[in-house]
Amino acid sequence: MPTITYDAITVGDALPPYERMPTRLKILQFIGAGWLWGPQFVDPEAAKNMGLPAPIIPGAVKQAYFMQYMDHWLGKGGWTLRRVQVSHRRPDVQDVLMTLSGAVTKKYEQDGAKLVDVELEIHNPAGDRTTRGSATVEFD
Amino acid sequence: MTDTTMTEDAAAPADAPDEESLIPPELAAAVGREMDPSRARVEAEGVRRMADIFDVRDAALEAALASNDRAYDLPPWAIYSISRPQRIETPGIDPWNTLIAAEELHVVRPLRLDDRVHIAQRIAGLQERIGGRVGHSLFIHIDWSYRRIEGRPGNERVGPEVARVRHTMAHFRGRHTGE
Repeated sequence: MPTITYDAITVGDALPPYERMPTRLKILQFIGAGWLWGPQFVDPEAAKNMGLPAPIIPGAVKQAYFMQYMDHWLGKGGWTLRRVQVSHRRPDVQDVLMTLSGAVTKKYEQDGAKLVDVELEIHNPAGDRTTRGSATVEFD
Repeated sequence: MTDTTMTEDAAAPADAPDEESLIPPELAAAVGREMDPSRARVEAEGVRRMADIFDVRDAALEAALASNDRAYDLPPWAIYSISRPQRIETPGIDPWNTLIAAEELHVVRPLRLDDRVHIAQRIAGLQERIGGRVGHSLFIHIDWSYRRIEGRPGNERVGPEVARVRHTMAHFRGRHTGE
């Protein structure tokens, strides 16, 4: 059963903050697993030549963090993630802590499904919002 | 700021910007065309690697992977375990000279172990911008469709969609502003 049920959710609810640390090792493992050897992910000089401060985090990793955030918020079982959207506003670099936050924006029933929309954000330690996103969760 | 859009319905920008376009002809010609599909199989080891990368500690998932439980609904990030066979194709532009600006995943049915998946990509549209926050840039919208392969080898068919993804890739005339 989920920790939080559909009935207990209210529009405006804030999700508890969730921290992720994308280490260089983990990013290299992800790149190796998906064969995504983009220079912007691995080569500091190439990243700078692209105008980036340092090798960055692949967008898919941040999207996966949003997916995990739903687990962190809702607990195990009783729901299915139906949609997750991510907009990358500023580059996130490796070995820098990310803080995820979010809030419930909509709670509704559609075609018999109980759905909840949330807005999502990632901030870096400087307080910059690097990533915006949203997700839709369907409850059993 | 000038903003021109090219989609399957509008094959050419209405107002060509003064500056030379970032859209190579071969990319413009590829809009709406489905690229060669690939296929993949969801395997426990690939999902296990993603779980390790994302620091997932989930006893039920570990048990399902250990027993190759084909009825277990995998977490949505399992899709990254089958992304390897499909390379992004952006004719005329080196995909490594782009950055992912946005992505959206729709899950129709969670992936399960041993699912065989047909993966197709299509350039859905192009959007060129001059000015604005990041300067002269080209946004390439790519749609991916993940469909389950049904039937036995030799008598297979592409079945229902299990997930779809839209990637928006950004290509810049100059360097990314870092913002």
